[in-house]
Amino acid sequence: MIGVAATQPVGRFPVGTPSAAVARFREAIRLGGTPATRGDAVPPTFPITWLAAPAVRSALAAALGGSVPESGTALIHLSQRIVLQRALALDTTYWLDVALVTGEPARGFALEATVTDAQDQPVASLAGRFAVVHRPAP
Amino acid sequence: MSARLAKGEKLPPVLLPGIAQTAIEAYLVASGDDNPLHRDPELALAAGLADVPVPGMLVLAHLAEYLGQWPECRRIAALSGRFVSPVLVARPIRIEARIMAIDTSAGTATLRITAAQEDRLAVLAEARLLVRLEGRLAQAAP
Repeated sequence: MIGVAATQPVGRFPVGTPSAAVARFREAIRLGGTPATRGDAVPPTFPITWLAAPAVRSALAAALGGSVPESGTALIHLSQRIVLQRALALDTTYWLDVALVTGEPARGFALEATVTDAQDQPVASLAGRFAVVHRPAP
Repeated sequence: MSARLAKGEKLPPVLLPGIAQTAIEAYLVASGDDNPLHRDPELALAAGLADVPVPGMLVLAHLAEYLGQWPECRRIAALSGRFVSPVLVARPIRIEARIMAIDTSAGTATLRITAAQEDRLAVLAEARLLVRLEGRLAQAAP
């Protein structure tokens, strides 16, 4: 369960839904070669791409003490929740507020993020839990 | 894909032939995910996996696509998934869903969705959908 522990703010980042990036993502998640369900829609899982943005990753690494999630860190995604108060619009800029959930899981980290529009109205929220895989010694 | 809009109804299952490494690669590029676990078989083996795991979010995205193809679905309002066990590259995946609740006042349906591989539960998900209720609600069972 996510959301009961204390959170530590990581940062506020501008994010967006550029048509080209959304189209690339939509193409990558097509189900078994079938046409995308709605060619004009932003897929509900698209916001996960925002967490991979370099600025977000750097801020996360700093918040986690520099250990994870540096580029190339092996992670196991344990769970993910995405709630959309309304559909995301194409070619739109939003704000992503990311926070670390302190204290869980023991060998990884948990994130919560909220998405707001230019008028600071809530659009979506994300919550994810990750475990870190340590590379074996060579 | 059709299913009566009634609690307990199942959506028609889908059997995916498997997600190839090239499809994983396309997703990693599109999503900005650089997790080496999804590219490096040796690292996957060292992590105790039998093969390269498919990104959990790619599986969850497929579940969302599956729901989106249901004619009653207007929009996915919430989606959560627990990645119970790894989905491995290039192995068939079976997707199923069942309607758990319908809220006629909100115009929503809650569904439980599963993705399984080789009879092993891999992803347990739940979704709240905005649905088309107009004249399509099935008669409630007595």
